[in-house]
Amino acid sequence: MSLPISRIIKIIRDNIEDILTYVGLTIFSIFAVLPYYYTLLLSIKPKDELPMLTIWTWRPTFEVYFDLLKVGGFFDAFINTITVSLVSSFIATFLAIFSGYAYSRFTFFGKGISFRIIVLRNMFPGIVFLIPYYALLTLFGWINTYQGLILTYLVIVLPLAVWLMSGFIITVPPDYEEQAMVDGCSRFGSILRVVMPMVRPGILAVFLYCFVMSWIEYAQPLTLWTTKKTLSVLLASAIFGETMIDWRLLYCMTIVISFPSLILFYFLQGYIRQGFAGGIKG
Amino acid sequence: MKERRAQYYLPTLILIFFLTGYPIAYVMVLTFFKLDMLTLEYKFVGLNNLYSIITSPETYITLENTIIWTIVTTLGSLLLGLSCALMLNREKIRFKSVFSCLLFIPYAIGYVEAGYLWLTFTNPIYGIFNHILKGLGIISTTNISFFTNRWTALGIVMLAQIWKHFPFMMIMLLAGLQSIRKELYEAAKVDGAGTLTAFFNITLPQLKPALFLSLLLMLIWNFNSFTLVWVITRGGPYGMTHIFSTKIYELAFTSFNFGAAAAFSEFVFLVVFIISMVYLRIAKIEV
Amino acid sequence: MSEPKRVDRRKFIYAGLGAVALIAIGAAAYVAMNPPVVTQTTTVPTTSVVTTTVPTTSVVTTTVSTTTSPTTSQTTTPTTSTTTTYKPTTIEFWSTFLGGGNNLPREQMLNMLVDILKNEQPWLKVELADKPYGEFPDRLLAACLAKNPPHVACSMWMWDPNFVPFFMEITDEMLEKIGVSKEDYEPVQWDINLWDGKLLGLNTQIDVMGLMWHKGLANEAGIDRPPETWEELADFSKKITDYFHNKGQTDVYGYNLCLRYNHGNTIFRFMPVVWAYGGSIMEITDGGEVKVTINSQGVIDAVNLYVRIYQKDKSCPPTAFDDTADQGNNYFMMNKVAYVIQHPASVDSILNQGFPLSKMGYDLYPKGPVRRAACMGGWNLHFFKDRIKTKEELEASLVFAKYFLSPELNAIWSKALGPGTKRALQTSIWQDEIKLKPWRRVQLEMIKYVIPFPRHPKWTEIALLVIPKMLQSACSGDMTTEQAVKWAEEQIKEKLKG
Repeated sequence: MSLPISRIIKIIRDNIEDILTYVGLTIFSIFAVLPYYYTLLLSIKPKDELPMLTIWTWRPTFEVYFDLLKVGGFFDAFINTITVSLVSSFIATFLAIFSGYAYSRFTFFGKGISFRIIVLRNMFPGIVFLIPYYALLTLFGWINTYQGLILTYLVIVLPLAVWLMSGFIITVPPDYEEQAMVDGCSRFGSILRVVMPMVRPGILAVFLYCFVMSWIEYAQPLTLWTTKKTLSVLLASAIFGETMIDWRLLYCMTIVISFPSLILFYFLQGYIRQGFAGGIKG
Repeated sequence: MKERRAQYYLPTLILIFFLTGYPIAYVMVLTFFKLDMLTLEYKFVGLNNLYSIITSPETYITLENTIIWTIVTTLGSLLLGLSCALMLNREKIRFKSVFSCLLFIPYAIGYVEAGYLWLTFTNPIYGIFNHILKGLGIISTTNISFFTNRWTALGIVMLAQIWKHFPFMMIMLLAGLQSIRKELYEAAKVDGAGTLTAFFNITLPQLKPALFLSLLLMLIWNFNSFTLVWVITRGGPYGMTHIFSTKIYELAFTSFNFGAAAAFSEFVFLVVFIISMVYLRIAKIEV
Repeated sequence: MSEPKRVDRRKFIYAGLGAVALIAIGAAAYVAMNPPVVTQTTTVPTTSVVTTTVPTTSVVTTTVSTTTSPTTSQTTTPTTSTTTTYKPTTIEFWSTFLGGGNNLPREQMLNMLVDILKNEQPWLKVELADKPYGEFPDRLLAACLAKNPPHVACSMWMWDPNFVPFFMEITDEMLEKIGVSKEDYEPVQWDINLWDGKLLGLNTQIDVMGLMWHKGLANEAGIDRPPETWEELADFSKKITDYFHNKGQTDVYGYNLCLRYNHGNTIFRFMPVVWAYGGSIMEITDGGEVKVTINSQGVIDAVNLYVRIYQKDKSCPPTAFDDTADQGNNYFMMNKVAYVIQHPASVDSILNQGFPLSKMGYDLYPKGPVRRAACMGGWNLHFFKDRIKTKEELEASLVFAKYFLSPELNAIWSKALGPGTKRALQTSIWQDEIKLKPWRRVQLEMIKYVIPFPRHPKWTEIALLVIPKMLQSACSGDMTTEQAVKWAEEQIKEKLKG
């Protein structure tokens, strides 16, 4: 009788780390998902049941989600938000790659100070910037335009993005692109062909960060756009009324707003985790 | 050669300076003025604003809250994010996509919605957080009303912030973990090192740049975070859970005291500047 | 080495192209669909106006005062009297009207307004901008400080003089063009917009709350009528709480006390009690002098009532310190709370969510030893000096306001909350509403008891920060009532100095 038990113990001991990992991942996943799942359950309750009293319902329905889609201007707001998020993410990632490269490789006049000043911008709470930005954009006539909003998103997102990219690029020894340049590449080309693939997970992480921050941004489009709206602003109008908060709509909105970021993450996470396949190193 | 190099970083720098310089200058100047709301005149008051801020006891409560808030949320996100990144990085684990998507969810929700989500979740009458705590045996019978007391309120808001931000750390550290060469681990295995030794001697040192950067970014990000605290407590039981950003907002838009709000921002900036200079100096010695 | 990076670049490019394609498809679909109604996109060429009798000039020449469209009747067919040759003008209008629910009448009204303007005043183009309710004053303030406010805005916050320097004064001449006068309003609706003798806005609707009570819970505990006085409210609240707690239902409470910090509804529910007991926070004499009267018996009695409910009887939900006022609606619907002070519009929402009408009670506020009092909310139309620069813009804004405040449209707009102009109240829209819903009658009755807030630039700060702190300190037991009131008096005096 001792044989099977000892075999079981042996199996456990061999794989103890993996088992612990599964347990840990499960616990943390529950922690991450629980409030979200709770919201999801509350959002599928039908409209004639009291909103938050019970969690479970015997008649789950998605009718409140259809109400969400019927909010006036939903489609326009959706297009606006996707456009602004994608454009600002692409521009920010592009600029961040090259600036991060410059910060990790070059020494130039004012490098240290400008680095600190970039970080400085993030030391002020974002709300401090709302009134000056409004005045500044009025000067250019860019209130309620795409370029105005994208510009402010860039300023919010770039400092972190540049820092992150420089951190990733610093881990790559400069030998590789020097090799490529010896072989006849321009510096620009060597960045594209040699460095970028090596920090691909970093690039994707930065792109993801920029996209998510732009997608869920609320205060900037609220202030700087008047007749146009982004999705989070539009839904805030629908939910936060004068006399009541529409809790059902709020729960649906929470679930729906998270979809694009989740979908993007689902596609990108493989690349972030794998790094790059096949090695040049050694 | 120098001109060719400049094109890499100049656009970004110009953008940031231009769009940052004007607001910061505006704030710096406004510190010394008082805006009379009825006549819209800017009255020069010199150091009055700063003086009133330094001598007000609320400032120090806010300072205390902010320090606790920043340290706890950053460390919490760091530990949680690091653990998840390490776990997801193991080769033999399956369902990695599923786990990482689940763990990413808090980051994908907007801040305002997350705030109301946690308000519902922790409500003593219909929220399930109390039920969970009872089930885990942490509290006995009565439901806790979390926001009547400064410390439980701070606890919940910090928990919500950690919940919201740890996926960011997880992703950054995951990406950083990819740059560690696999040969190092193989060599360690050959030498007979266990997992823990490998972790402390290989992973941590190799991860240092990414860790250091993510940590600092997280510190600054949490420090300036506004929406969650504002939505959940609005400053808390009589102003006791204010952190710097919420206090500034309240000074500006509820008290309409823009001079004081600007002075407070300046005060905050000085504090952060000093701390980060010290931090960078220490870190430079290490790295 | 080339294999993985080529794959990566290709995938990257494909992803980018895919995203661009998605946007392109979306944009094409959007263009193919009807453009959204709220944004007026038709412009009028400068050489001709739609109506037939107009001379074709391209410059604005005609005088302003004569032939404008009739003020009281709304017809959608253009009459021949619209012979004005105004240059096409665009004005920007800010308010809160999107999102359905409570805002549905407002959105409908604005769409109708835009349609009517398209037909009757084609030179006038209106851009409607919506901001969510809670953020509206902050965003408006940001825009004003940046010297770029809208032309016209319909905003709440009627007690805040901090916006005074931005409003344009409404002269008698302007009033004539808009077509309203003092007689169209109740005195409170008119006076609330006066500052320093000048008229700075026009009321579009007034809102007064009432006492919403749960007949189901009350009847079960043996109560069959609404409380007459505030003391009785506390008594009933205790009775209900004790009854249900003894039965084992420990999450049912009596009165939904509102004590949240930096939250407008706290002061809205506290001031009626203060006034009912004959107290006041501060009083402003005609000469502009401010007297701080908070340290008086009336206020102490009012705070003691709160302390009694929260601390001694414990007959309010324990989350009173941080519940928003609308949480009361949730508790009410879930049969957890019996007395909530709420808007009639909330009653509609609650009933729409399946709450049985037989259990819904709605009556006047309780009264105190001195009087019965209520707070006033509502929305006002304002014009902004910094944006209305030209004569055309002024004219456009006035015409817009005229249509806005015309009886039919004002009735639809104000239906969302409370009565607007007197003429709007006479329309069938409001008359039907009053006939159908008894809580509207209560609202109309309550208007008689309205007392406006003191008009001082520091009032917002005092009302939102100092008063809740005082209440929370007293209720939690950190200070006695007298100490708390004295502390508040010192705070107010200090704020008034600076």
